[in-house]
Amino acid sequence: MTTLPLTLGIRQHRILMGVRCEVSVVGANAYALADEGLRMIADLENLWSRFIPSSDICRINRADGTPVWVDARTVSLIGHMIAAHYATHGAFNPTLLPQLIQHGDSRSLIDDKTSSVPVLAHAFDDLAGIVIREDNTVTLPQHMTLDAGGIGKGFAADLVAEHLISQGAESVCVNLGGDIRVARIANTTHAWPIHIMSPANPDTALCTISLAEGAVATSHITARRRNDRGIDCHIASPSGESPSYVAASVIASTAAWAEAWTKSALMSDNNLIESLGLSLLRVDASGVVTQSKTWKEFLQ
Amino acid sequence: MLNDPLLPPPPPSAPITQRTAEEAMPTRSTSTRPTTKKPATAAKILVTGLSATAAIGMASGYALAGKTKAQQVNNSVINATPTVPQTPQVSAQGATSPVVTNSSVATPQNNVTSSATPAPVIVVPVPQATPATPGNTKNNWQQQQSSGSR
Repeated sequence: MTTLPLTLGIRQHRILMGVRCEVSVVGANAYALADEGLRMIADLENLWSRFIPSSDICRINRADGTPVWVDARTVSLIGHMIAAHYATHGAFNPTLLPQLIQHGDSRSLIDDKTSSVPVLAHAFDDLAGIVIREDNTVTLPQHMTLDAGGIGKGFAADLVAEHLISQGAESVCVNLGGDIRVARIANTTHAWPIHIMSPANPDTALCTISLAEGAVATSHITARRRNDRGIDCHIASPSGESPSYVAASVIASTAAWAEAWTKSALMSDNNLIESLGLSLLRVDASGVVTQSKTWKEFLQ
Repeated sequence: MLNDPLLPPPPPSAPITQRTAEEAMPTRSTSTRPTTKKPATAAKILVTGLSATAAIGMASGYALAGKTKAQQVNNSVINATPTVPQTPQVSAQGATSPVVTNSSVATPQNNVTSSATPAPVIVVPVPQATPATPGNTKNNWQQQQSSGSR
């Protein structure tokens, strides 16, 4: 195996999807690829934002039980939502938007855009009623709404990273507000250092991991509280159960899965995550940090 | 008709005298040109031929048009399933895919396709989560600051 020499490394960032998005690229055409990555994230935001009325997610949420023709990437995202919901035994639930809005989370964290849901919308504890057809039409049950939220960011990071590698990047790191996906070509040993930030002090790293291929996502309960807007806790369940932890990080093969599993990690102590071989770090309300055995393999 | 090349040249001028009606209106048959050609007859044949050709052409055209129309109807019957819309290319300005209602899916544009059915329901394939690969090297690029996972 020949190891390619690392050429130019570039990091570009921009506020998208309500968070700071960074696209880091190592490769000969790094500048152009990093820009392309950010443009791609902007495209996906236009598809999945609950604050953009023309987005696929908003149109689906307004459809009131009628089919809606959506982009193929939105179909894939909803497929991931359904798969994550069942894999986490319901801990990941993309239908909680009415609850969030009811608790005051109706404004964007970065501008004055607002989101709303139909009056009769409510959370569901089963996604079996979602119908996806071969012609890219999606039908939600009446009164169900979807929120791309964290899994949308994670899946966006996956799509961008895979695309940039396919376009000639040697190694990439795509970070959407803490949902991070890294990827590289086969004949390189490049890896990325990633700080896992403290939920209590955002400027302090709990630890630093090194990731060559895969993803890490972190969720903490105050992620949607900023200054005068947002809410104290955006982690919820249809039953109203409160999270058991204040923050959780999961390392997995993709950012979409890592993000979905953080919800499970926050809500309960079950060993589902470790049984899949995924790595886990959690912080409880008193600041005590616990980590899975495999987490140590990633520590730098 | 005075300049008609098919007509024989006029006879040389004669002194104006009192002519009889018959003499004043000579017919072609009275022409002195020694020929057996009959231009009027040839013209009639030509016109008849053109007319016949035009008639045949028009008839053939109508027949072909009718045949094509019938073929289109048959194709409509064959393609009775609804057209699958192509995945839209989303621009930075956002998706503008039309909302597909039940009626637009089930109601075709003509009566021939009234038996159209919705596209089949699919299950989106999603690979399961697997462990990631830890890094095992260090280089200068790794030392750059990152906003990290938060």
